Amino acid sequence: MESNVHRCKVRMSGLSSLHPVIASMNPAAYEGLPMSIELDNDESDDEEQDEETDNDDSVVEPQNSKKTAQRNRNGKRKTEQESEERSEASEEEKEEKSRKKNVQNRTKSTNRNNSDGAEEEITKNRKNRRNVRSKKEDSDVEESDDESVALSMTAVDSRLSDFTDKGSIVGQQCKELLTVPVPFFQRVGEGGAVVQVCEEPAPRPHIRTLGPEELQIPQPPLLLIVHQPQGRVHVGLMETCLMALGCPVSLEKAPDPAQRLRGSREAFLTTAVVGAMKRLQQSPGGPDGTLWALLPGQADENQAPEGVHVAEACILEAERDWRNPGPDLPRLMEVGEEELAGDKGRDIRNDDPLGGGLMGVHRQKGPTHKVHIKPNKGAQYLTDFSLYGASKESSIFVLKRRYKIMYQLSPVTCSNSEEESEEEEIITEEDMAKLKEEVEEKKKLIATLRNKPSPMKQKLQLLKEAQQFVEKFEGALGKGKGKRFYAYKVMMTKKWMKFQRDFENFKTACIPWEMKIKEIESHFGSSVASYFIFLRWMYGINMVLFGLTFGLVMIPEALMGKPYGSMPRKTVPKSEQTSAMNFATLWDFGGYAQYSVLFYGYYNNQRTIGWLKFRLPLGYFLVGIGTIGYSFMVVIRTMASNANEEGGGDDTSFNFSWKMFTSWDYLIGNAETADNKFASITTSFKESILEEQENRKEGNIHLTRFLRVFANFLVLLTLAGSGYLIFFVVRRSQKFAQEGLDDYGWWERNEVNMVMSLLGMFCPMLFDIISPLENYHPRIALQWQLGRIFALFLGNLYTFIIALLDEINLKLEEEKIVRYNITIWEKNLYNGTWLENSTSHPPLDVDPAIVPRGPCWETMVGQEFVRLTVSDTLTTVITILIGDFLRAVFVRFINYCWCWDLEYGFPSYAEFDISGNVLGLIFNQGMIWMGAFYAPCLPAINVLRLLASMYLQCWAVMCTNVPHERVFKASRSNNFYMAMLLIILFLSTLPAVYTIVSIPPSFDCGPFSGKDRMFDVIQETLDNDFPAWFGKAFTAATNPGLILSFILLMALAIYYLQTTSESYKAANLELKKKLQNQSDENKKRNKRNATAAANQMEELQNSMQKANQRATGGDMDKKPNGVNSSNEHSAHGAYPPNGRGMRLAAPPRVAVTRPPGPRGPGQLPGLPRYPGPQQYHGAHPRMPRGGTAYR
Amino acid sequence: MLSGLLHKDSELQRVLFPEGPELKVCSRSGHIGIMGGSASHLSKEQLSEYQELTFLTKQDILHAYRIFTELLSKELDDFQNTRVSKDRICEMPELKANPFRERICLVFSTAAEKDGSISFEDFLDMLSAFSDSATLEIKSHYAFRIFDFDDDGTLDKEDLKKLVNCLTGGTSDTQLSEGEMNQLIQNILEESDIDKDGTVNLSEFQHVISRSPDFVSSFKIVL
Repeated sequence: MESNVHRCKVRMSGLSSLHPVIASMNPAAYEGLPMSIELDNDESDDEEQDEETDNDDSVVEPQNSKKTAQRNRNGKRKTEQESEERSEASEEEKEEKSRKKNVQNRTKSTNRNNSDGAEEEITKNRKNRRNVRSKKEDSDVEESDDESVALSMTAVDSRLSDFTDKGSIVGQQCKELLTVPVPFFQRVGEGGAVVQVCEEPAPRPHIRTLGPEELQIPQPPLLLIVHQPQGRVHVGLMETCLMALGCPVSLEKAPDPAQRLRGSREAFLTTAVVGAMKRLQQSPGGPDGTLWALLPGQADENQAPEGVHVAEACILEAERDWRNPGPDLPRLMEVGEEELAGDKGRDIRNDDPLGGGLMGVHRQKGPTHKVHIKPNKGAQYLTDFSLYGASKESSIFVLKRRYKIMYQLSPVTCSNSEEESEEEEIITEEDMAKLKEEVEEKKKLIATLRNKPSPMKQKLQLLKEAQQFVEKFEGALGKGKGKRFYAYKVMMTKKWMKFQRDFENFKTACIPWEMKIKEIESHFGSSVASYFIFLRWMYGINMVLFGLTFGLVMIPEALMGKPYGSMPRKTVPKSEQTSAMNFATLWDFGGYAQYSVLFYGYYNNQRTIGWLKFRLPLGYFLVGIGTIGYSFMVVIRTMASNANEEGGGDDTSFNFSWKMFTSWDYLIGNAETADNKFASITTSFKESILEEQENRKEGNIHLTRFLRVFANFLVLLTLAGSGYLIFFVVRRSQKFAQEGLDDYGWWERNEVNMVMSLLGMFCPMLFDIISPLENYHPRIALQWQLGRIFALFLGNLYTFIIALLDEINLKLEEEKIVRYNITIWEKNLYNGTWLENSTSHPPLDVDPAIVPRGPCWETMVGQEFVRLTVSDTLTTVITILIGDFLRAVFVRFINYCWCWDLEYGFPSYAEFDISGNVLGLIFNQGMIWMGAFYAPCLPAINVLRLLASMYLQCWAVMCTNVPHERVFKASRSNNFYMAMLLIILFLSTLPAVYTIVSIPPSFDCGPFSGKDRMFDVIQETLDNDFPAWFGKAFTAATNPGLILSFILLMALAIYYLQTTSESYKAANLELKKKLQNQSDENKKRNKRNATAAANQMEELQNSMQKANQRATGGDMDKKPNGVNSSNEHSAHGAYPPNGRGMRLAAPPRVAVTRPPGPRGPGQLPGLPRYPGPQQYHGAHPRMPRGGTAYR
Repeated sequence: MLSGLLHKDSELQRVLFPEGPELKVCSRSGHIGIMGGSASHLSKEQLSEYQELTFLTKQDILHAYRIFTELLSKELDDFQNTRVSKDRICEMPELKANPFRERICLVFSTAAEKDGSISFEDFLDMLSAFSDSATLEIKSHYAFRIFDFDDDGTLDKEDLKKLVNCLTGGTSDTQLSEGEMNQLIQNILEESDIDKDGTVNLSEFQHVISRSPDFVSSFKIVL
């Protein structure tokens, strides 16, 4: 009894402070809680009427909780008896029970005779009715003065009054809701809990967790179920429920109406509700209602007791999130479709067996909720209002609805569908714009959802919501024709997106060797894998080059050109025919191989071939140019994109931190690699500590310098020696060649290639020995090493080329002699009659095999490169087989019978030599670029080679190599490789272009024979195939003056771009600095704000406490302020969403989940929007929607 | 499986059976053929949703699904709600050598019991964060959480110590001495702790990480 009075006081004080109308309600009703229930005749009449019309129920006083409840029960329950009575004065309990039963019986039978002693009640009823009426009037007045206040307030008020009129049990429900104890709104496990507040009187107020079977026990006339699947409280829903229940508690603390409608509403609501609940729970008598906590999953309707009429809602967001809301996630706590399926399936309005006041939260399509409130069985009255929820926009709808409700809340009947249709129509232009914006936002959300580090479930939820929202409202955009077009556009976009995604999937499925590389990656870390990725990339390029040469040069010549044997250049000379099919000859790419499409010399200078009139010489020339052009393009583009990815590795100020945070390679899946990694990380830690310590200590600098100079001297010697060796060998081989190769053995024939390969194999080892002299840091040492090997290869290559050029000159000399000889030969053949008109070619009827021919230096060059490539490939294979495989086999098996541990001792297993392999690959590619013009088969050979080495090396690395210890970061070296590739590309095109441009082609072989220079083919084409003016224009365009000025212009452009890029770089750096400063500043400010917000919260709490104290007479003093502590608790348990130091400022942050409201400037005191770039680098995963300047 | 073998044995097997059974590790990752019976549990909608929500491609998801069901090795009817225990996840070849494997499980697990067990969606989350195309932002966020051993939202000295121990393998021969450790941690805090509160918080961490050229390429796990 005492407690009840207390509670009533609380409510009253709240009411009075907030709303004069409510305050004016009869306080006596609170004070004089009835000890008994008495029904008078009037009441019974009413009830009878209600029963008959099936429309309304007994009139109940809302403020009189006991009576209300009982009345309500009376009215609603047609079925069985009440299970228990409320806790009252003990002596009255039995009496009451019996009376109640009587009442029920009476209700069932519409029998009013057993009402006894109802006088007291009658008067109260009357009083209250009067109050209600006045309240209604007042509420109308209220509506006019402040809309936003009116929105919620009048809704509540009018509803209250409606319920009052209809005999609902609003007050009672409200009270019962408030008796929900705090713990139930906190997290209950991961799955959440369902809190049911029921009005059912129990012998003792109690709270318990129900098993499903237990649920059958009580049959509460009214039950509020709040699902909490993830421990989140749906604040908007709570408010709705509260409002539906006519509970003004939620609103009484809001300092100003505008704020109430925005974010702080939740905070206040929550605090208010929780506080009130605590209060009530504390009160000595305990709450009257029984509190049921359902286990998760039991909340469905089937399991709920029969006749439960419910405000049911699912709350899916975590508690901490509405306290600490993620800024850009719309805090939609939405009712899952399936979860309310039961609700839909059953029309609460009509088949309610008990006719009690019922509430249900429906989820419509789209993110709005409906709460249907029906005061009594069969009543046509239906309130429909939506929850704040899904998003700002949808809540705008909500507001609108509320607005409507406000006016429609008169106790007239209105059907749901009507209301809805009306509401649909009042979408204004403004709304449309907002809606559109919202839809766009949702789409953006969908697109960026994957960037959020929240668990999948949450993301899934959000995604579904957003998708549904978009689906629902997308169609609403646009009008008439525009609408259709819009729908079409949307559909197409969707299709396009899907196609794109499928295409992406397809593309990734097409990447070859992905799995192989991934496996290597997982065993050896990313650095080794980077080699294979590079290899794959090279393979791709070579496939394109191969396609070009094969498709445009080799195939046309083979299919449409003159067949083999038709002319001298296509025939093996008689002298060689005997050995032309020998393996040794073929292996040397002589014999039949030499006189085939594989080499330059085979191609005819016929201008067009075949029925396609394919201009082969032109095609040949253009393919050669295209090969080089394409390679340049690809390499430079890759370099540029790599440079972009590299981002800012600009400073070394985070040396230690990087070592700490980024040195682990998560790809490592091999225990041994991991061990190596551990070791190397430890070493690097120790090294850097030592470095740091001895940063200023300097060793004997002179010694170091001397050693370095000395080392470089040695390296230079090596390079020079190797260069000379190659030069010497090439010269010697020329001598051999002149004297005829037949006299010499295999070594003499392959001397050049073998020497080059051997040099490439042994010189790097020499460098390796030299490099410790220099005492460089390993990374720098590695770069030196790479640079030296590069220089060696390059030197060798160029020596080779120079020697080749020498040979070309020799051949040119030889050609002159041969030409002369041929003239003589022809003269002899035709008895000199052809000398006069030698311009026309004689139809040679001699065997083409015996026609004397020139040396054809182009084929010779091509052959050299092909031989080089092949021997290089073989060297690689042999190195792998001997150096890696045999060594591994030896170490593995001989280890059993050896004196020392071979595996960890001297020979050990080989490491995979990334830098050497990469360099080898790069140089090989350089040779391809150089030789491709003279040997169209070269790209094909290279493709084969790369393919073979891909498989061979994949196998070798997996089964013979051990992960190596040197830290060789993939990302750093990537562009390093590319840079080397670019250099090689440039250097290798130089000689090729030089030979093309400045050396006259052979007179009797190749597609350009008979021309002065190879590029004359262009002029020829211009003259023959294009109109005259075009040729003239071309000639004009190619005159030196124009070209020079063009080059000048290009140089200027390059200079300009260079300057601009530098200034951009500077600006970039500046911006970075600024951002850094800004972020520091922000951090400070955030701290300030956090403390301010915390203070504010405290104030709020205090004021609330004060209010409570006023109301409850200091009840709250005994309790620590529970709300705050729970906030802190959640803030701690939760992961800080963005580490901005805002963790303590929990409640104001709720504002981000603010309900729809106007979006603009309304900011809450606790949560300033930072317009500044507080998120540099997009580093904060969750950002508020406002202030997304950097998004 | 492959990497699970000790070096000696695997070496032997590799030499003897270069394409032998233990190399099946790679063969289990065939893309297309896995759409068979078991994969039908993943509906099209789910697939597309997962694709929407992760950085994974369809093949990746199906592959992940396959591996996950392998890990489950139970009836597949309810794979959505079944969790794989932390130990089993840590046994995966991709995670086996990782010193942070337990942390990874704990960070990505959404299990109520905080036992680090992983559901399929957690698994996808994990793969997504570790995938090639995941952004620096999300990678650094998870890296921070992995390094935050006590889950208090900052990297304090204890966290850093544990981190160093993880990185150095925790064995006696690779471990740093006390003095080195302190020196190291001090240096790190000097560099990264911008607001000088003695700990590294998320934004400081991300600030450091975002400048590192290697992080994105190394914070990667590929199945």
